[in-house]
Amino acid sequence: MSEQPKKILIVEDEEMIRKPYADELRDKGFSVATATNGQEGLETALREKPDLILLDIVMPVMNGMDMMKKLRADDWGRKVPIILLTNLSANENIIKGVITDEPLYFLVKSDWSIKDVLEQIKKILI
Amino acid sequence: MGNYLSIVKILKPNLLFIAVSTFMLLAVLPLRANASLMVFQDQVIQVKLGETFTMPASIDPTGEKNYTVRLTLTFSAEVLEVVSFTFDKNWIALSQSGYDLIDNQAGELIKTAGFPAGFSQSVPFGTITFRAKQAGEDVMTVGIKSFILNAKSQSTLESRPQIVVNVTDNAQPQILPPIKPLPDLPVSEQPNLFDVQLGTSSTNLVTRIAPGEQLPIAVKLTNFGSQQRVDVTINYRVLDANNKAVLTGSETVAVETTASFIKLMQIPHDFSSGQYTVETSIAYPGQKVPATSSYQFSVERKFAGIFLSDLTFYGIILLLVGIIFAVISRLIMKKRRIGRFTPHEYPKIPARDRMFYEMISDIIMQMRYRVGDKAVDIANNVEGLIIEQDSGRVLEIKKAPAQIIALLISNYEKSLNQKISFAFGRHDQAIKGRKLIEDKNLVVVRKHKINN
Repeated sequence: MSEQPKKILIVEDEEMIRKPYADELRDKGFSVATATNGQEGLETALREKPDLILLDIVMPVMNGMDMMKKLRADDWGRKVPIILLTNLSANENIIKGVITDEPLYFLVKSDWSIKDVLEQIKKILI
Repeated sequence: MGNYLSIVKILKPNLLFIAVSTFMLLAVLPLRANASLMVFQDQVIQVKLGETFTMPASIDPTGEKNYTVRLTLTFSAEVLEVVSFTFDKNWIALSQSGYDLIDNQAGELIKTAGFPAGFSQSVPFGTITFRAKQAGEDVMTVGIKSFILNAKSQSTLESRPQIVVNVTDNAQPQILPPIKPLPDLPVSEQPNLFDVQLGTSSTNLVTRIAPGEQLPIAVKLTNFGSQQRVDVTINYRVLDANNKAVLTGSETVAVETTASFIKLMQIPHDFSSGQYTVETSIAYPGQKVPATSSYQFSVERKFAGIFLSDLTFYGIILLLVGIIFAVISRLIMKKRRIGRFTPHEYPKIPARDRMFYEMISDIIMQMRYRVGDKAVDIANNVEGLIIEQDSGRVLEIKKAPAQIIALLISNYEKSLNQKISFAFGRHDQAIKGRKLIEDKNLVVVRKHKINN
């Protein structure tokens, strides 16, 4: 019986980013779920219970920092690894959120290629 | 005439030879008219200890007219002492330094006087009175500075007599075996006998020189013979490795007993590098034995005033020192770098604040890895953050930690002109301790679990 593929949730409002990441991750054998805002992402996460969440910060309805805070309030969501993928600079609020809610990485999109992010995901999950 | 022929006839050939020789000798004798003598009454004197005795001296000019006499006499100052000297009445004494001396310490007597009208027959010169002060035998000698001058101020002194004096003490038998008189000494001085030395222990012998420089040759001339002033010609030769003379020179110096000087020989610019020998020989009147001396030296080119071999040697030394210095510097830099990039620990900081100290400290450390000590300067300018200048260790956080971290990252982003990614190790992910991760675009701050 083969092992279940690791499930990754991509919470990203921009399709131009979300889709390539989803395609690349599926191509590498991961199971992928997507959401276009923080609210949808929170619901999907709690429902699907992914192994790792790629989370944008600036999104409509609910931003990534709020979603992360709510997720950490859940027993399951307290421990799930989160990679913040953003173009924001780390301001005081983000730092507070980072300190409190403990994402694994805070990655600047422009500096990180999909390939490099995938490498980091592999290091975490495999 | 007939008698003469009859005598010749009766002589045998051998007797004839002797007769002719004797005749010729008698014919030559007048040529020795300038051979004057100093005559002492006794050539052997025997006295008892403590006695005084006189020693009359006369001058025998043997025909030629002489005018001035200087008598120098050496004696043993231990055995004898001069009590007095008295000139004969016809002499006028010359009392000046070098011509009139009685020295009982050195055992020397000098007396000089003139005979105004000159004398061509034997005349008394004077009388020396000695006292025997110690038992023993002494040979008094007329010194080489004695002379008997003729009208042309030439010395006609032929020889220098010696007088044997035997002093006995009372314990010795009264009848002594006969003592033979000693022969006269030649009046001429000892021949010159020079030796030459190059470079002595007291001189710094130059053994290496560059083309175009002057080779200093320390020369010492010593006359083991007479004490006359003699012109000595010194010949210098520089021989190459094939013993071929490549440089020569000479000079003449006047020497009495010794002479030391430095001769400078100009080494031509076209001299090739290698081993050479400088050889010195001397020539002087009446030389009977050669005198040479030599030593080796090397010619080597210079660069910037330093011999090439030295330059190579010093170059190697400098290179080795440079390598050692570079290795040590590298080790020190590495140690300092390790020190800079080793995470600081804050065991004395309360647990609830420790995480922030570690985070800020790690951010500074990571940025230091990227921008050098500028990272420390940037951190120093963050209000509310006090750090140790050298190590970047956080000393105190006076504002909200999140605000300071945000300011720190913001300032670093400005410095790097790019946004900064970073990561946090989770306390539940089995990450042991904090360590440096050198991902190009990743600032890693591993934190411990917050203790609420």
